[in-house]
Amino acid sequence: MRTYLVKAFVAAGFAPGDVSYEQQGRYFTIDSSSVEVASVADKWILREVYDLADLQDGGVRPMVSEIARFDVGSEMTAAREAAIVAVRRRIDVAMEEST
Amino acid sequence: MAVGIGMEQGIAARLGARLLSMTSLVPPAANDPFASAGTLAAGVVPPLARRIAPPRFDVAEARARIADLAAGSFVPGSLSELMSYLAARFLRIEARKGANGQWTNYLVDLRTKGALLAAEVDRKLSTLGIAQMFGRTLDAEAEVVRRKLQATPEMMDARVLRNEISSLFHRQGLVPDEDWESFDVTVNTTFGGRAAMVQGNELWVGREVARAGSDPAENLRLMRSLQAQGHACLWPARNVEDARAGRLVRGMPIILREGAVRTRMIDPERLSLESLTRKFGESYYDYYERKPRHPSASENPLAQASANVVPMSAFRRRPGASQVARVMEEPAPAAARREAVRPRDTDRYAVRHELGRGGEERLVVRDRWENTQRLLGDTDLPAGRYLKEDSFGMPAGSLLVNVDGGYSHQDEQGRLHNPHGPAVVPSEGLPVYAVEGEILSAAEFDGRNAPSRPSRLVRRRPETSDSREPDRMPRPAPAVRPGR
Repeated sequence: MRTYLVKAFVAAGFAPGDVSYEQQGRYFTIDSSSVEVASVADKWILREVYDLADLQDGGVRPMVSEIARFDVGSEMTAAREAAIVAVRRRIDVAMEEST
Repeated sequence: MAVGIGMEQGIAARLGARLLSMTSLVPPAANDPFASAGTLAAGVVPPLARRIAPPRFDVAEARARIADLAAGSFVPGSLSELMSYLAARFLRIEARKGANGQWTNYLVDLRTKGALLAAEVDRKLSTLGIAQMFGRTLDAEAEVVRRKLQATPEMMDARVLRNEISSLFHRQGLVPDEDWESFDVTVNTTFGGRAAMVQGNELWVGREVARAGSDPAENLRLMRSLQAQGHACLWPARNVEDARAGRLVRGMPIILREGAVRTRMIDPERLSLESLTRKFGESYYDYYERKPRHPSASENPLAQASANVVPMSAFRRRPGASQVARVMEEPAPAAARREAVRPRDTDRYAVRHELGRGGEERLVVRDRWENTQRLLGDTDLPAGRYLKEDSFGMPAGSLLVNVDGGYSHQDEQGRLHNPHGPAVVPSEGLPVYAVEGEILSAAEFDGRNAPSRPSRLVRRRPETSDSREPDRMPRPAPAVRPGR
């Protein structure tokens, strides 16, 4: 999975060293991206971690949003989707800034 | 099943189309021998679940839902109005911050949880658009909400005081005062003996530790003294420069910062300095400046003793003083001091001083929380200083209950004072009489009060602890026990 993630994210403009593995939580993180790929049982979970402005209780609330699940063996698909989501978020921010 | 119908082909075609649209019938196969006669055939109906497409949430769908907003026919007046508008359309706007640290607004479909870049749907929903509409971004709004909800000690105290005064508002609807003088009384009686003061443009209520004098040098000495004792105080001054120079408002209370509450936090509409100034027609500063110089108001009771106050050394030389010195001494022992600074009990209870028909003195403890009252002797009032009021509910100094169960009466200037009986009632030993800080012997007290009091009142003075009549003289021990 690491190999595919590095390939996909480098192709998307990220640095090779951006991909790291969190041994304790068994998930991959990509620096300067809110995307994570976690290993849970026999699945790869593509998820997004971000802060949410909490208008109800005030302040900022950390959120984890699951985007997709992939079977073991679909690492290439999972890595590509992770890179696409990360790039999409970058584009979102750029578009937001342009308004 | 096939049915032949003898009718024109056009009618048959229209009927067939209508049946197809309204029922689960399907067109006949091409090789059906009855097709030319307008024959219909029933086929296998696919499961309903497969026919329902999952709800899609894309930019077009989102724009369709908020068409009024996009077209400008709906203009939200506030952020909450916008949120309600979106919620009615199963939408929510969220500000998210990713790894790059920048906030981005997303429009979330509440049914599918799908999220779209809000700016892509409508630029008014972008971070900048929201800021332009409502003056701040969503993350800034969340921070404002957080600050509002943050429970500071002052907010918690303000809530307690709001409950205290809510009954007044409930009965009369407004601040039941016509001027600052009556407001001071209301604050003192309603807020558990607290005092009001102004610092800058803020009206505060809190625990009074001293009163400002007219001499700046004297005020500076007092301020340094209080600070040296570890008190953080609020100084009654118009601005910082005046406070630093000791130019305080003469006679205005100096209160402890701890436990002090801004009145606008208790009730921003009815108790703010602005609204009260408007109601009373003059500022609090002006009121104090025109207020007649009270003989004791301008003199700090802590720094300058009144002429009537007997020095402690002289008092201790008096007969019987050694027996009650323990009660009189302030500060009390450490345990008692801890009790004394516990604000809840002193806020909760007030002591009412009543005179019976026979002139006998009674002290009634009023529980403000449970709205009950009992004789002082029947309670186990914790050690502390309690607001004392007369039978009309007007402030009448305070009652200082000692950790040993004894107590002493003090007037509003902190002097020993009880014109109706003993000013100091120790847990053991003889009572001590005092009026306006002047210690009196039993004979002096009788002589002083004889002309104005019925003789039976003189007689009720306890001779000894054994001969005291329990129904006439409040006896603290053992009913008033040390703090719970």
